[in-house]
Amino acid sequence: MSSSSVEEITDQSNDLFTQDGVLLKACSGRPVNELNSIGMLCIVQNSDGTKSIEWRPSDIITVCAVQEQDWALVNAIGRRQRTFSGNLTADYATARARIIRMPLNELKIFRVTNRNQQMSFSNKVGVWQSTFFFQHGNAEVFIAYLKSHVKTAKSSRDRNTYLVVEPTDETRALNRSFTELDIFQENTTDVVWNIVSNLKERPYETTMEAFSKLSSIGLDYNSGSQLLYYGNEASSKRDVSEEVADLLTKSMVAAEEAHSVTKSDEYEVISMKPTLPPRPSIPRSTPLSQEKWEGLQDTLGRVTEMDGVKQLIFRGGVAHSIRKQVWKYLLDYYPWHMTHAELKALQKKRTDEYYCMKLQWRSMTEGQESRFTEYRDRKSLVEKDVNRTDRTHPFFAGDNNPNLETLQDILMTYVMYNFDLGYVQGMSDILAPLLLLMGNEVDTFWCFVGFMERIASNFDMDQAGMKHQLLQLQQLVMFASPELAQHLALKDSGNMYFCFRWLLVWFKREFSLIDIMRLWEVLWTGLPCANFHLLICVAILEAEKEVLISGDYGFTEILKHVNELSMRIEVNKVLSSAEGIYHQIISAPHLTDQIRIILGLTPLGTSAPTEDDDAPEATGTNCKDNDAAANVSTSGTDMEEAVLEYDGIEISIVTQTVWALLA
Amino acid sequence: MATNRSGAAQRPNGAPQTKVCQFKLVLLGESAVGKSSLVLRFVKGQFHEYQESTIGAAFLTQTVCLDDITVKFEIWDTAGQERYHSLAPMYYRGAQAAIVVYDITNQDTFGRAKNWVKELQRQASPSIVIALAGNKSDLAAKRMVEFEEAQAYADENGLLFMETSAKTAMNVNDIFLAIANKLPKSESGGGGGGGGAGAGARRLNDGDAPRASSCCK
Repeated sequence: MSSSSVEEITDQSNDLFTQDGVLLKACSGRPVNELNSIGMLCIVQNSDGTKSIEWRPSDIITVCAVQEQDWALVNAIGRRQRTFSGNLTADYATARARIIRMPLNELKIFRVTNRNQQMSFSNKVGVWQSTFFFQHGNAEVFIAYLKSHVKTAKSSRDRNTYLVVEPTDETRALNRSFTELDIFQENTTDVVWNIVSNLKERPYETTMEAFSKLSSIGLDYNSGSQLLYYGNEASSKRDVSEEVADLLTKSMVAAEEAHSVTKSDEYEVISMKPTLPPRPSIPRSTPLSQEKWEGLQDTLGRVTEMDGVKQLIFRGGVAHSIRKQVWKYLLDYYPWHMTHAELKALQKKRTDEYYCMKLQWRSMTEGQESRFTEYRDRKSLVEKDVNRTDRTHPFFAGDNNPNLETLQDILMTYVMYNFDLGYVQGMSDILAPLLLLMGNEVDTFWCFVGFMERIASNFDMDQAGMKHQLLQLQQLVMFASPELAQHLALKDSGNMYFCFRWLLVWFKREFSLIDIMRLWEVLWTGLPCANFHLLICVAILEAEKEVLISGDYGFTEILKHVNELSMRIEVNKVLSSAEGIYHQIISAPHLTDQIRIILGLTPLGTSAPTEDDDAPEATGTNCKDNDAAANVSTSGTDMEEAVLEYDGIEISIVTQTVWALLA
Repeated sequence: MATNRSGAAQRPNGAPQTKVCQFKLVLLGESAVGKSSLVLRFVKGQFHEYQESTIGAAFLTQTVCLDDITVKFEIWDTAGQERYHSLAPMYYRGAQAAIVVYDITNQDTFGRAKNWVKELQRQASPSIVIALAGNKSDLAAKRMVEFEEAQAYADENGLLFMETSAKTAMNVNDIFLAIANKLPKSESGGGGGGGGAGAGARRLNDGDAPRASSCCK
């Protein structure tokens, strides 16, 4: 247990407020390639009681920061190296270095522009040190929290600019020292008055000039605000200094405004809220029938048109009568191009293999078991869960149900097949529908192996696979449903943790066994893009958006509501809207590389290079999906031709060959 | 805006006859000891012999009346398997109460319960009220953990302790009531561990610090 690290981290700082989806637009002293990356803007309480504004890039929020704060890195068992996410520490260190921090007691001025969507901060005159763009709605809530931590005054001339007026101990001390230093001496007032009168005539030029003059006599904003207090103490100078402060503020704004135009050109920053194109309504098709399926096999039983079959399945699923057969292909137990004879041989081989592995644990004596804690622990975990998996379904109901024994045997054999992974809670949920359909123990086992291949990272020891998906989901929601993303962020739910169950067992707990079969077979096709299961999440959430937002649901209500959607979701409806959302996203003019990568599309390489970090990871997590996505993008021209017709009922993404076969 | 969640329960607009206190309670313990079953019994009065395993977390609420106040429990039910251990802090952070559950027919689960207690003492809010529940007391014939052993451990560590049975409902309401009684209910009752250092449950609420630790209005 790394309890010390947990304590250490909690001691370090405490997030008082966090806002997801905040884009770094500008930051002095930062490499340009770090700009335009997305992150979280926080108000943080440091261990010494001081507070800071902190911006953390997104790629460390879920992988590291969330681990620290929400998921507290509890490194209980370190024996399974394979499932630990690669070079976490190296990435982490790099990412840590990208955190931007500004102590609140140094904050002197901040400003809100672009319909309250953009904020700039500064502790100095003349330079906005950092500028952030709030992708979710606007910065109002952030400002409200910020204002609860610092005393501010709105500039009388520019309602968008706030001066931090509360003199901190530090500035008080500075005041004194400046008074003692007596920097201003005789000509201070002259300089100031000159600035003031010139400002009225030529605000912009004068400001620039004034800044240089002021800095030439060592007057940074610290002394600028000091000037203000100095003035307060010496009432005779009060008017001067207040007016100066106002004017300075105003001209700073003017200067920055002029500046930001070029900035926007340079970085192509989204300046207005982008909207997705309207969602096409795409009807579901009928399931792949036995006739069609047989027609798609040649005389030797080879499935020649794999892509076409997958497309048909994606559109309508598989008729129940042939599921048992088709699933073996979808789950990579049967290779598509094998003949009946070859399959027969394969099946025999796999059967022998299975029983060989089964024997390995079946032949273990009590004595052996008593000296093999890890094995015993796994066995007991399996028993506990098998005993309570889908027991309300007739297939698994009743005492001494032999199907429970089969579940147990398959899971135990899987422990021998993949001892590193072993058994993790959730696997029995994955297995139960497979056994229900297949009936046969050996077939079920190999189909289970195929399914686990796709989702093994869900069961990572360090939860890296789940965190990665939750982050991707967050990014998709942000893109496809910014309003909802904003609400979730406001309610401390931006980490999407309430979708954990959906993702872990691929919605198994949300649908009836018959519906989950439909959903899974569609998802196994890997169409229309990688990570389509995340778009299923988006579709379900999008349908609940009104409830969540208008009900002002908070962290707990969101989780409760989402849990309670179980068995109330229509599978075909959700598949159809997820597909619609897919089309909305890929045809959005502002589609980012980040989203392209999640969906397995080739990045265009135009946006911020920070997203490259995601690329290898994404490939690692879901190779199969990406392969499928590669298929999609290679046949991209085909698809687009067909997709263009989606206004009509005859929408179809079936290849010409399949059409010919079906005709 | 920070208090909208609890506002309704805390201020029954009109004439508030009784004080309403709201507490966050988390259930922890090894897999299959009966955490969800205890909650289900307490909240819905139900028992399912084959209660499915909890994936992620579940959230339920239940309100109980004490003499002059009403206590609303916000209950977080968690997944027990070791693999999901790293998610637990998200739930016990800011909790004012915890029930650590073990199965009286399984000695290992008692050991695991002790670890949970240790972790809570070390990492949860310092003022958290911890109750130890020896569940499945209806299976006393298969008992592996002696009542006295658990009682002694609870006494040593200042825990509330009861043997419970979600199946027969024995001591289920009682343990929640005992917790409700033990929780501080004064205006400034230190439910949140003073100064919000330990209890950051509701980050959004931390903006108004004095309120974060009080439970009653």
